[in-house]
Amino acid sequence: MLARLRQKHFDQVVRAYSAEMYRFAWWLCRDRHVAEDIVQEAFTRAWHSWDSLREPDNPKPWLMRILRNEHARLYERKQFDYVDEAPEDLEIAADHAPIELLELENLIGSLPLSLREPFLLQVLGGFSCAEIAAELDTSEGAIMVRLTRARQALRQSLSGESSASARKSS
Amino acid sequence: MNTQLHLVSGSAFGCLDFRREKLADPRHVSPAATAHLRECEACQRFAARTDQLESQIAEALAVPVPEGLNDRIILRARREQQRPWRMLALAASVVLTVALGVSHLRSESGSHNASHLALSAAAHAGDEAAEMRQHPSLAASQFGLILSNFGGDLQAPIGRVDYIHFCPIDGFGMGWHIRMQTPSGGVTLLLVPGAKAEVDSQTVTVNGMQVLIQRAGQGYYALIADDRKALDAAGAAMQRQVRWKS
Repeated sequence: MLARLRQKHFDQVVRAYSAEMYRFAWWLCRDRHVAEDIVQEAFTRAWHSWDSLREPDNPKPWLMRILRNEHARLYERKQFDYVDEAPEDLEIAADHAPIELLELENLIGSLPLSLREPFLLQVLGGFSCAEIAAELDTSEGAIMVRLTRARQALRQSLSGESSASARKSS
Repeated sequence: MNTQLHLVSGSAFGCLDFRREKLADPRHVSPAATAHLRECEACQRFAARTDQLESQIAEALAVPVPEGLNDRIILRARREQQRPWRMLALAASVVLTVALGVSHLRSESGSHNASHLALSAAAHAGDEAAEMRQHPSLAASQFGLILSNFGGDLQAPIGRVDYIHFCPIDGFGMGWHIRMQTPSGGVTLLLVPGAKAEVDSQTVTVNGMQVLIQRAGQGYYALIADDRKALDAAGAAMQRQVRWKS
């Protein structure tokens, strides 16, 4: 009986979070086969440690942690030192022309992992800055800086593209 | 008006504060930021553009989820619960598959010392002309930013960038493909984040192409040229003119 309830809960969690987990994994590795493998492996590990799930009603942070660990294990992720200083230059970017989604995908994919990961946790995972900070073992202020830098990098790239297009068409 | 110093109703909350908050978390800003927004036209424009970009980002991030993913996850978890030894068998089969794959590639190349990455890089560069015809290039001005995101700061130009495209590198996920003209000739540069190879640095000949792979930044870069002189010059320029962050 207990085993059946456990299995039912696991199935519900898979159906509720697998899409989000897959998209998060895809944006970490940008390869659909690797992403699916990471997600399957993460859920399998979760299933094996299901009894250690502390918040059965909110398993997402726990699942994301397993998934991040799985990705890190796969890629033996290198750590880089980034300075989390607040940027001073936040001018309004020039109007940018409508861009192709693929172009935006390329830009997001080219963000360094230290910026991309908190960015994905926020936009895809819906986590708050405080939750992301706890997950990545840093301060909330540092996360806010990284998120600001991520969006600033995207805006600057897009305005750079737009200027180049304007020069071409003039 | 100097937007950086624009303060509203005597509040110490200025445009820079608003923009920091907005860029850090576009969907949740503080009451002070909301009050500032009501009275600052420049920040209203900034907020509108940020929100517009945010919807585009949400659209871009929504990659399609493979059909049947849920069933495969559940099936795998159940299967491995029933057969715990399967993990060991799977690990062994992966090792065997990789070993056979690399061995096959090596025998095709004729170079027993070439790494899998060098072979993939050479194959990718071999298809360069077709790729350049099929896929438009990003602006050459993006090269510095792309390199910087990969982990290297460009101190001086390496050559004239003719082509930039983000594309799949066989066996290594996605990477940046850059074609440039240097004083010593044309070279192809591949930036492959997350790549793993057997060695830190290696120069090999694959199907008549000179290939250098080098661990750097977030993975490896590969330089490919038709002759050794162009390769050596580009390799030296990468060493001299790029400052790596790690």
